[in-house]
Amino acid sequence: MTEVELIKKYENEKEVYKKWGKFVTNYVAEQLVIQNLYDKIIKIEPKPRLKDNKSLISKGFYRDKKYKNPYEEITDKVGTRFVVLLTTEISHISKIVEKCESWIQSKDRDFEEEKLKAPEFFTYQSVHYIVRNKNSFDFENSTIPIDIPCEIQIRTLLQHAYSELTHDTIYKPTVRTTPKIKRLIARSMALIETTDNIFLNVMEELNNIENKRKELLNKLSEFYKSFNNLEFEPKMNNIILDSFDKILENVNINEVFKFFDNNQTLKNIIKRKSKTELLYSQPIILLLYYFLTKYTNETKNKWPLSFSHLTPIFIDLGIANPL
Amino acid sequence: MTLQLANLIINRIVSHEIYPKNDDGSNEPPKLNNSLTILKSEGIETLQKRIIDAVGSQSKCFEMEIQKDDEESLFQKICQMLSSHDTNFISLSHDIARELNKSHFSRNIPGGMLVIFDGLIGMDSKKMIGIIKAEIHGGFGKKDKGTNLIIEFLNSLFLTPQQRLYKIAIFVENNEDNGEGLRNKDDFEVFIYDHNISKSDPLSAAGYFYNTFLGCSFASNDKKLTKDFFNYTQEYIYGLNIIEEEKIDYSTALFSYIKLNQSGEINIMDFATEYLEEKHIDTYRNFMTEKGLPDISFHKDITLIRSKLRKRSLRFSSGIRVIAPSEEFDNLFKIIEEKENETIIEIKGKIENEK
Repeated sequence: MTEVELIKKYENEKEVYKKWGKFVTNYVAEQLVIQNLYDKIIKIEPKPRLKDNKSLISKGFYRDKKYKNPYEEITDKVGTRFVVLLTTEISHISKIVEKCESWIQSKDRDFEEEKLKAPEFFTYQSVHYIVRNKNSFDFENSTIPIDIPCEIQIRTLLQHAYSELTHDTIYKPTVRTTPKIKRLIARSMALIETTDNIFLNVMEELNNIENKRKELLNKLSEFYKSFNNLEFEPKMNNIILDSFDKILENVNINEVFKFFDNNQTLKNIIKRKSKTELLYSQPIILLLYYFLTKYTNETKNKWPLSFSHLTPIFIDLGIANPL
Repeated sequence: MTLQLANLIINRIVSHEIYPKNDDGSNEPPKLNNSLTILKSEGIETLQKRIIDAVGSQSKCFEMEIQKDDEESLFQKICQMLSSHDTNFISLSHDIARELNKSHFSRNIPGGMLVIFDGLIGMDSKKMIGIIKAEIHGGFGKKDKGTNLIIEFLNSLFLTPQQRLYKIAIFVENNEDNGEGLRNKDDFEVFIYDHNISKSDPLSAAGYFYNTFLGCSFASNDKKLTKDFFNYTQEYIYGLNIIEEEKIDYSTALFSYIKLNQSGEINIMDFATEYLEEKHIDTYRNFMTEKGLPDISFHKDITLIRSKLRKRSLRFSSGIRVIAPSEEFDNLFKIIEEKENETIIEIKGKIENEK
């Protein structure tokens, strides 16, 4: 196959590749939306992209790697890319790709495996799949014949940054990369791997806090529901909890419940006020009464909202709070 | 954690005006109201706030003892109000107004509004009677007139947040009436706020409200409370996880709080906010109240700690003791450096002898 023949065939089939790329992209994106993950993990909008003619020629005819059938063997004529923030988020997309019934997939690259094979190297990292449709089908006024390849790349923002930097230098060399450049690039990947690790630690810490908070709010909500209807408004609770992080470290939730069991009248006060003020329908109100009794000074100092909300609680508790 | 004054509910209110003595020394009779005072919810809430800010926990009120409880006493009239019908409630309040009027023994004592109310207080809704004497003062008010703001002078304000301008007493019934005639004073607790109460002996001008008028006196356990305050505060300070030098500083603060304080009043929140670091305030208050100290004021009586206050006595882990006069302690004793098991100190003076 000559260069001219290759381009001619490609031009004829471009529309098919374009549509297949679009189908693959839409499918994965839709699955993410269904799982409520799209907005959470996708950092760059995925778009199918056709290889341009020059890159195809260059890849097919002007590289060390010799293709017998360049047109067939080049499997990334159309590709799509999913960019996430953390390496742990890659698997969500892998699963969707691997479970899809419409195509046969093969994993082309897996940086986790590559790291195991060459642990001493720091280089390009990305997960690549080639997916080929099992059946011919019609999509947006085009018939897509069986077995059309599309490359799916899955990587993190950091890995993407690396790839953007190296794309035109190492893989498609126009100038010779010097050992110094190679070394710098390898160092950047080492740093990226380290950074990813730190990002994961951060997320873990945040999750810990969130889980603890959820648990606290759940327990408070359960207790609250034992004497009144709850109308949970997460934001209000979170703003207040954010300010009381330090006090919370020393709080035993059972002490809070004991406080209300010993002072049943406070439950009636909360019940009465909940009819006119939303704050009194929140689980956090339980902590407020307890905190103002036990940690009066600190609660006052850390209180994030207007004092007009706190004054009535001082009065209910019979605690002086003059100017 | 006591919530003694939580859940305050105000039922009936009646108010009268009291005047200062006339220039010729005669008493001007009070202007008496014959109907109950009705306030809207905002007014009730403000009244509640004034009451709690003055006599609530962590306030500067005193728990006092009822002295006069004979048939003619104000205390017995207050007790009668607890279960009286509205007409009776109002006529008893007239008696109280006249008593307050009578207690104005000097022309220096200002007039003001007398507000008497009954209600419920505490987690177990105890019956209570409250008596407020509020001085009338001037101030400004504003009115929006379209885009204009009109400021006007108001000469009949009272019960503004300015605590110096009102005195308040609340009588809380702890044990219910057993129906046998006169009430027993031990069935009641009395909390009184009066900004200059502590300086006063009962016969001075400031004593007229709690003593002459209400028939109360300072509690008899002041000596013990003062001693407990001193001992437990030191226990708290030396239990803190801070360097020795800071402990000594806090202790010096305690000595001066007790010795130099001219108000004759001890209040744990007062001490905490003035001398302790922010982060210790709540834990100190909890520590002290768990030891049985009130979180309101009490009268300073150093009878039981007089000798302790004269000397500071520091014991080191090695058994060494340093005893120094508490006056000028800061100039006589200094910690230069603290190490794991060593303290370098500097002492003014030379060794004179050994005992």
